[in-house]
Amino acid sequence: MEKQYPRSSSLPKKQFEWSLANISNAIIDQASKLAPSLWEEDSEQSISAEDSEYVNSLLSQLNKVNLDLQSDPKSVTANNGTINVKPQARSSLTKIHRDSNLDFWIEYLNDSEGKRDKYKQLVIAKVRASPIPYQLRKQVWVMLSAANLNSAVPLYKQLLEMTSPCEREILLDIHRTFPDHDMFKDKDGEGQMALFRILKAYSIYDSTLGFCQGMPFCVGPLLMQNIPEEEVFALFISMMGRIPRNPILDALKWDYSINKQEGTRSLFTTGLDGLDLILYQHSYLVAELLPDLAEHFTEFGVAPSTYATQWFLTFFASCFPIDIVFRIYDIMLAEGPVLTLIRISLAILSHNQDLILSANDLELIFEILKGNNLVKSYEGKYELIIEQAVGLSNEINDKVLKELLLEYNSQFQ
Amino acid sequence: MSLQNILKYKTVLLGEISVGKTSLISRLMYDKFDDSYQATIGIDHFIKTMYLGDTTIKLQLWDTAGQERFRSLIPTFIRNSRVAIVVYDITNRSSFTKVNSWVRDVRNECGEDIKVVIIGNKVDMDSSRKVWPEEGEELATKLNAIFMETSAKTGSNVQAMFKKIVMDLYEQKVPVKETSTHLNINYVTTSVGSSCAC
Repeated sequence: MEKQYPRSSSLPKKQFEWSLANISNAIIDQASKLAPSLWEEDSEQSISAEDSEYVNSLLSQLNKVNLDLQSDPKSVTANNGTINVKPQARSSLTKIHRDSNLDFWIEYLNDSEGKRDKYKQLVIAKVRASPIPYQLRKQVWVMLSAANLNSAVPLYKQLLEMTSPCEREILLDIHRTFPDHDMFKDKDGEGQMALFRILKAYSIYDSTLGFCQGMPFCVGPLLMQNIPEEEVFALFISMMGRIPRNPILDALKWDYSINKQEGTRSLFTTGLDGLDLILYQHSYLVAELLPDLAEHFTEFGVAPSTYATQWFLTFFASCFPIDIVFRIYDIMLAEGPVLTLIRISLAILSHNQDLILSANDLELIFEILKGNNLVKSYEGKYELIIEQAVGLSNEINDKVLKELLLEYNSQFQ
Repeated sequence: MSLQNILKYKTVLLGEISVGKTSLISRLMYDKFDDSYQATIGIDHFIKTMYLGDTTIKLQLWDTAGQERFRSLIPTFIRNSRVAIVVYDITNRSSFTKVNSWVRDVRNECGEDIKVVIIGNKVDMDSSRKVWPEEGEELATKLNAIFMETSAKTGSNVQAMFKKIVMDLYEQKVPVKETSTHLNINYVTTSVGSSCAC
């Protein structure tokens, strides 16, 4: 039973009154064509998380239209009664939807923890729709990561007083991390030294792991946001997640339950166990979602470890332009890092699939698979990478990754 | 007029962290040196095209990460290589002592046919030298490998090393006949610029 909404065609052609209701009708109208089943559902019936995400994304489009109208009345045009929204029209929700993107995040930062948890889906929709405003990004990142500053900051200061067996290894790498970026290009400059201190502290904090190449690239973008280094440490340990006990933290009476979630840590452990798993999940999904490409890779002997290792071990920061990297961090922190990394990896392969398939030469395939070449095909429209990645939510989500983990364990353990 | 021959050789660069693997490639490819290259995470790929008479030789260079924990990935990277260049830093003794195990890994994965080249890099830092050329030479003889000392920074011996590799490969490919007598290092001209084969 289709719900009846006023159609945009019933709107007068001229003297169009731009109200929220008009535009919302137009979008709902479009949505009902796209996903009739969703709109036919009884309103009493509970809807799945995916569906509610979908609704959220529509609502966010609606709000963006509203915002665009406030700033630029010409961004939405009416032709013969149908509404055309410029492609950049996207964004926020709920009661806050009358405010700007900036106001949403101000409100988010000011809310109490319990309240923020309640609108997690809304936050995800918001982050997906547009970049976190640069003025607030550093605070929002710290908040999204659920970093425990009260505990982690004093710990950081204590760890800096100690020495780490990994110092030499770390020093060898910090000179080679973002060598062209202003913050990191000076040998032993402030940026490099902050990077060194954070990684040194981490190597003591998680002495079983110590230091792994790739980690400096993961920390760098956090420093680039001018997040104070002790907070970067707090954020980073939160992203890395649960760690095994060790004598130093035991002596400092560290509360291990502070970071109890499974994070990105296993990517970097001595056996690179998490990397092996994520490469397995990645290649399974390539085979399932991009079967032609998987076949092409097999034909030319392209193993995922030969192109995707640096994607995953640097959170794409060593291979992509930094603005995309910041967007990837927005999403990783809101939705989960590993999930996001895999979605991005599939999105960029999918986008470049035809190009890769047309390459009948191993060296050409590797050339295309280099980060700077992969993004070339987006012609600067980098937000599309995010749209494509989050558009894979049905195919790639926590449930799917969990199933692949179980399958991996049954095969290899 | 004969058809041009194209020979491709997968060449993998191995060795401890920060011994200069990427720098050697950069010197070969672009004839330049920077104090800091971005660290190689996992693997990077480069193509060097060289011409020898009517033969085009393409070296597919696989540049690898040096940290110990990446060793589990190395067998995949080494597979089907024709040449392995194992690099150590002459100012860093422990990078030299690891050469043995790198060569062992290579032979395990690719058998005895693979050409192994041992390189002592950073000869521009002779005053901090910790490994003598004789030691490198001796080890190379023991491991049935070619040995050379280079400096990616000054460029010393880098082109010569790659030329030697290419000449050896070429001579192996073409059985000794009339051409081999006038094969000369001067015949080798290296292409300039892009690694892209397109």
